[in-house]
Amino acid sequence: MQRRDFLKRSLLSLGGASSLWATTSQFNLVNAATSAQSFDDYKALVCVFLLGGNDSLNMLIPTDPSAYQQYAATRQNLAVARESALPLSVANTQYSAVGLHPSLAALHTVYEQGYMALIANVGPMIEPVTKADILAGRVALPPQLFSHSDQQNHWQTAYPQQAALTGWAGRMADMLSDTSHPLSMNLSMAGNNLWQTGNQVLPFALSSNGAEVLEGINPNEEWQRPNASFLDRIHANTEGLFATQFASMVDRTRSTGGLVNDALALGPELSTVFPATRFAEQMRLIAKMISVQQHLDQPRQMYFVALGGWDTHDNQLTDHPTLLAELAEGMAAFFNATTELGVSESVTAFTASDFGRTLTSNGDGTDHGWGGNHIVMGGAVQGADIYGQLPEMALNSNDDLGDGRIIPTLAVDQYAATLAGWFGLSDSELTDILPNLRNYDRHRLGFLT
Amino acid sequence: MRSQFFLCLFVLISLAGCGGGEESASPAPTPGPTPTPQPSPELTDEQAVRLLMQASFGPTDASVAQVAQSGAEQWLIEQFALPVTEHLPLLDSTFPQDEIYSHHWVETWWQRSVYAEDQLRQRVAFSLSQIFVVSTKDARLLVDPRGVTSYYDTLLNHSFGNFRDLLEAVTLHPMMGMYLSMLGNEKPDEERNIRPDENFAREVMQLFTIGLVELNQDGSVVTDEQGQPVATYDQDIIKGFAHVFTGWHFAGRANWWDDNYDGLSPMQPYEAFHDRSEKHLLNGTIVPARQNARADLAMALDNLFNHPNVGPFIGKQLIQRLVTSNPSPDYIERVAAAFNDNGNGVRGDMQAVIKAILLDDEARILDTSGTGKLRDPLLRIAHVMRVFQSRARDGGMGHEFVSLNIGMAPLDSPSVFNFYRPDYSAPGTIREEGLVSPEFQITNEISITRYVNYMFYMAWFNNLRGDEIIENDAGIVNFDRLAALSGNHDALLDYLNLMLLDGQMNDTMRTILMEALDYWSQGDADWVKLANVVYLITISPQFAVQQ
Repeated sequence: MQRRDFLKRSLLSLGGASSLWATTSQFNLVNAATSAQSFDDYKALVCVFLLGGNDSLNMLIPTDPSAYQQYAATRQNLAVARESALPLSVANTQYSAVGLHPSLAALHTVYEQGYMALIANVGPMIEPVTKADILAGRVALPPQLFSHSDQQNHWQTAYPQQAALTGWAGRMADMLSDTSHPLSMNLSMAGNNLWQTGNQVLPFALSSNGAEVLEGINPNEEWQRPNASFLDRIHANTEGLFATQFASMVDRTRSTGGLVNDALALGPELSTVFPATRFAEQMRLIAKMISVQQHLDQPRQMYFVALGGWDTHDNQLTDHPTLLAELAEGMAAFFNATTELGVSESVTAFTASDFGRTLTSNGDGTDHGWGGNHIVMGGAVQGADIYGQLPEMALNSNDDLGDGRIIPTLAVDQYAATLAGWFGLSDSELTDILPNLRNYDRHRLGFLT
Repeated sequence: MRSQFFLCLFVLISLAGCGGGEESASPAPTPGPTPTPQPSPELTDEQAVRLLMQASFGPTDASVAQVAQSGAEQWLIEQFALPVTEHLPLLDSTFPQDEIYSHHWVETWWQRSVYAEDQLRQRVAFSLSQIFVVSTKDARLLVDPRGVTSYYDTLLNHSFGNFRDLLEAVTLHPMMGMYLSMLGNEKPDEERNIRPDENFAREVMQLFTIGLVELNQDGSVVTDEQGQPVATYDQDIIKGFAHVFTGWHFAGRANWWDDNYDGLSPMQPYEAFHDRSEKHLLNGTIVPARQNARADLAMALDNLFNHPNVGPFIGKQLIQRLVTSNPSPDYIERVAAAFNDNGNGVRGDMQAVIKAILLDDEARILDTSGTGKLRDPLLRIAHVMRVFQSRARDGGMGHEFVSLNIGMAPLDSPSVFNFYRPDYSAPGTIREEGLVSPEFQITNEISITRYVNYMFYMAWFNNLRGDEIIENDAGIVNFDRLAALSGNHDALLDYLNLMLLDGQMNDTMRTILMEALDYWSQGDADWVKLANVVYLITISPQFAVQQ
């Protein structure tokens, strides 16, 4: 680590660049100087992206009678019944009476065991803001607040001032990857995604069965080898930007798919039972990948899972509890599996989502908001606690930009920096990866050691 | 496809010992078959195939001859004049109404997309379905395949009409109403803390008409003094539109709370739930208070339709769907100009836009800059089905579960943002060159593997194998045309080059494929060599990328 820091700093200062937005060649130098060998432990980050914008303000219910009354008056027919909220022990003494949404029951256990924390009111920002600042136009705001695509991009890039080309996990992987390793350290259950895309590193797509097996050009089948060789020659003869890019992706698929499946075949049988949902099956595959990471020789891995359906403009009373249960049961099973494998302290899973949603209703649903609450889970998490400020669940408060669009009090950058710092990045590396982090006093939120 | 999978396992076992002889010298080239004499064709066959790759679901022998004979412009005019081949009548006549499932919609889509005569319209509607997105990923749409099919018919019916009518028809279709929750959107109710739903209001601007930022007519972004893009709208304008789009529900209800479901008829206004306050829209337009829902809607859609962004915003995306991922600014400007005025002072004439896109030099003259576009997997599969006139013995197409196998099906995108974004740029050289490559967004290890395997199954399921394929519901490609050329590898490759690669096969690729043909000729049934060479071509980058 220290050697890497030293090399990277000196390389960057040689180039006169203050950040990693410098040239590609500098990246290559940094990569050449760093290698996976600098880690003597294993860590994995798992990003669970809730596509569409989770109404995460409804995951936490104030249960103190007067606070509940205010919450119920604001949320009207979307309010969760007070008696059904699952009571939370909270180390942070300012929150004496907060309950968890009943559909998150599976995670309630993990929380109470101390392996899960809730991070309050996180959102995409460029710098800290207050309602007064915003109304007076004194602060820089991210472009296209409340828009799905832009806010998803912001969560994944953490840098809205530039075109959305690389994500913070991609930039981390550019920094940490052993470039000679054939398999990307960024492994995706959801295909291509911005979060894991770097300047060099691309996500490797897995299905819940692992890598899929090619038919017709599979080198393990003797009769298919001639076709594999004909295709090799066709690829070598390929010209044109798009065609060569396509050929290189087909070749990457061919060369690494076997590696993943061979490793997976060596893994132990998991006795943890996963629910029969698509999300849980994906989490199960991640647990299996983690169980064979020593065969893959990858001391650092980042996983991306996406769960859709959270854009609850309507039918929220039916749809949202179902989604929360699917999320909670899949995540809890995943935690149990990492415990079974004895690696729970090396694996941290966290949620991300476009935005929180409006406190007000549009009749049977909610619209695009801003700040939201998030879940961080794993053996290294300082759990059974709520970090940050829970927003006031009232309209026209200082937290409310209008219609119950809640102004965040923590930035995506601070949330990401806490995760990335645990993963192994130094303070200066954090500001390289997350350029807007400089705008905040606190760089790490303390929910991971 | 499930049954096909098991059969393929059998095929794999039975094939395990085939091939493997020593390579032999290539036979001397022999001339290809004499083409049917035609009076002075307007286009070469290669030029005809090029147009058909852009403007249809792929070439057939008949369509190549027709396009070559008519020329590009005349063929477009002929296509404009053809009656609409709707999908819903076929769905209804094929499947009993109480047993229609979502895969029956996909089956119908294949039948029409591969075999309908009005190919241009079918292809344009497919492009529009990737702009005006609704998706069977939504549970309510999943269980109403007739409604979804009717939505697609709405796109077909307006593909050659006026964009303003298309926009209104899409807005009021109950599938869009459910998907972006304009259906049931009610006026504000302060007591219940209810305010209008902003979903459709936002997406109709961001995705269906004007986009997030002001555009010049050539598609470039307008910037302010600080060099920042100028936003087209803010939250207040979204609220204005959200208030406009209140008061609409399923047609035929006695009142708002009635439970009549109608997934086919346009939504109907229920004035008691329409907000009658004043509303602020784009460019300072104000909708006066006390108007009814229809009057408000007309003003709002006019407001969107007349925004100068629509031409370049929609024009560029249609170019990307049909021709190339990276049109030049001049090309976009020419198409936008056709949108703005069809030559007779009419704005939004889709025929003028389609002509401008397909008759432009950038479309008609081969793009040798090495970009073009990556074709999405559905287009590639449809191309193979058309060239080889694929069908199952039971009369179906055999590809209704395509989504399970390649992860993509019509009207089945993961979200309103389509399968891929128009500005996605694949990391690597494409990105370093500053180019976009939308279809690469769904190109990854999983999708590549599934596509390659799909082509493997398709090529292996050919009619030359006769009774070996026992399933009646398996899609079977017809290799009769190839079998007739089988003894003459040069002629065979000429034909495959024309029909699959638009004549773009270079000498080296030809040499490699010639060796492949020789290799698979030794001691095996004829279909083995044909299946292998079709497989190799259809998984090649040259087939995937349209230049």
